[in-house]
Amino acid sequence: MNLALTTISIFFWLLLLYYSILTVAGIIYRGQKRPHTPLDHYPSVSILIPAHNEAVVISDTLYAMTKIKYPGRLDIYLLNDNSQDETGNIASFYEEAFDYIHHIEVPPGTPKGKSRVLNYGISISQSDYVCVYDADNQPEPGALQLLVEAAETTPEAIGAVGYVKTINERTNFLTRMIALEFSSFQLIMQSGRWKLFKLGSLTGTNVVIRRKALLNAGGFDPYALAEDADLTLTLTQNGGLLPIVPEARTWEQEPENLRVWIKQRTRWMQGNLYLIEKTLKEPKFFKGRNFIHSAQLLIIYIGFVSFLLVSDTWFVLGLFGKMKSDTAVPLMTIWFESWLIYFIQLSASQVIEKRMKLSDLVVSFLMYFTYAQLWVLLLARGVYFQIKLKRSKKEPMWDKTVRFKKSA
Amino acid sequence: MKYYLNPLLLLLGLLLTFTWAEIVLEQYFIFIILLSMALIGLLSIMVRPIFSFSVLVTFILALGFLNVGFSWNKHLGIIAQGMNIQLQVVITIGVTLAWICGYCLQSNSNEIKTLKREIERLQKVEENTGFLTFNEFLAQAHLLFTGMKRRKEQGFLVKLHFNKEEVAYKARIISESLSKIILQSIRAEYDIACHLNSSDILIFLNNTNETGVEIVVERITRAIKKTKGLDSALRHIESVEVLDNWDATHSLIQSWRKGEKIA
Repeated sequence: MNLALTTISIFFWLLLLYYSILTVAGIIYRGQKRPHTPLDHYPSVSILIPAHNEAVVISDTLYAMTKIKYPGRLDIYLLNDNSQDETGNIASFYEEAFDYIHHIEVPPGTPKGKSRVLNYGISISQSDYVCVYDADNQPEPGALQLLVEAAETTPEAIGAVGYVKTINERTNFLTRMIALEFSSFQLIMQSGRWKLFKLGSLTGTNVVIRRKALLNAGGFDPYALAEDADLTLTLTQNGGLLPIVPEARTWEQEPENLRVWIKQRTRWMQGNLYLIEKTLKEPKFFKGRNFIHSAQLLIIYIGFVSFLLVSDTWFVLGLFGKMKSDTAVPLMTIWFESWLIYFIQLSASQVIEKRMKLSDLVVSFLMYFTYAQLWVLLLARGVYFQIKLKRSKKEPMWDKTVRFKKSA
Repeated sequence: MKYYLNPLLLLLGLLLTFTWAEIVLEQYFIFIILLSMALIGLLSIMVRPIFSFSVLVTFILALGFLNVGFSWNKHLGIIAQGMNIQLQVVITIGVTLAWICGYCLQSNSNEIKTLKREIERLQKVEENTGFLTFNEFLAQAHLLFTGMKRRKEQGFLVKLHFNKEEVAYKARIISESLSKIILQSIRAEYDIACHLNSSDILIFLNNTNETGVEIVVERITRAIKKTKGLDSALRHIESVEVLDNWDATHSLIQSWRKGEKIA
């Protein structure tokens, strides 16, 4: 028992060390002043917005798209994936009003989902860069220009990744937790990985990718439910860099209730499990810089959850006096440090953005005991649905995230 | 962030930390806390906040790793682990408060500098001389220029170059006397004047001609010669008719300000 506990603890402690180093590197990267580097010539860009029944949010999204300031040629494609609501009418209205906005009816097909729609968008557009925004996104006017500038001026870059912020953050505790999670784990961790290893991960939205690199990678894998993570591996394997541009921001709507959140995250979990399976089958994904990506996938989805389970079990057994506390491993200290590091990561991102409030501090304090614990449930659901999918031999079903109406 | 910069809360936080440390910790650890706080506080005043913040985070994380390493190595029981965690928490809170204090001082100081610059920019008249500030001169000159051109009138820019007085207490008196003479020599309701730099004064004479300029220059020269201590101050006077468009006039004034001569 002690040996197993010691092994897991050492492994977990190394994991925490890795995340601590990433945190500090991320903070340093965020603090570095990056000079604005305007280009002599701005390459053409096609923005692809996949949309399936997005009437609740799409007008705000398209309105935000009209405010984008980009010095080069820009075309915006609303890829309407058989919407049955007002999405088509809204898109047609914008198409008539703006000559660079195009409403494209995507022909029905399988497998259903974002990847197939994006691949169709790539096939009908012609531009140097492809940019992807989700249908609920409202990018800031300068975001695209910053992304293209980073992609063009960073040596060996084949694209760039921006920062996704939560537009409905103040709605409830759940959205606040999601916002904190995004700003910390997505931004600081991404920045840290870029600073230390020159590694960037596509985020599914607010990204630009050079068309040539995208075509070389074979486009998006239509069977992948986490198409962004999947493409990241292929692009990294092909040798391209994806710089992180924290200043290029987009605002995205996040799930406002637990049911929608669990469904969305289960899909992400399934997507990542599919990816883990793919990486384990193909050793090439563990070579070169991809090693960090693949190892991280395993660490997060298997390592982290395993320790979480051990930690919780130890905690519960300890409460009922069933576990001897004076073991060879200082579990209480490790447990405290785990919480502290998690709390520091969340708080640091708020300090960097100069917006920390007492409520954020309280939510950050509680997140380890609540939000983070839901990973166990997500993993269980993800594994269950992935096994079910495998057995049924059906194509993966894209479970679209439900959008919420803006409160008046 | 503003919430945490409330001095009362900061003071309260520091007092609580010290009280806590005094109650539960040995003198040796209190010294460590104070030293850490002093170093982090000093750093947060001296370098950019983001870098001192990364040092703070590194320090807190390192402390955590040290604590685990120590507890592991010494096979500490749960009570001893609890005591160490308490020590770690006190140090962490202490250094965080010290960082916030330093950050607060630095950001307040930067804010004061910015506000001073803004006040300088918004100030219309120099307090001691009664001259317009340079920015205000440019703003008023632009208005005069527009009206003048609409009425098809002539206007002149007159630059008076003086010997630069290096001794500060003398320079102040000379500057005030010269300003007084100039303000008395021009038409207070129509013409404007300002300091271009420490040795040049600029006058904008509007709705006048060469003869009008000569009269003003003569009046100034005479008054300067009559005034004790100023008789040798004036080196030379340049005058030029206001150009046809404002951008060119503006550029000319800016080049004079930098000390360039008329081509």
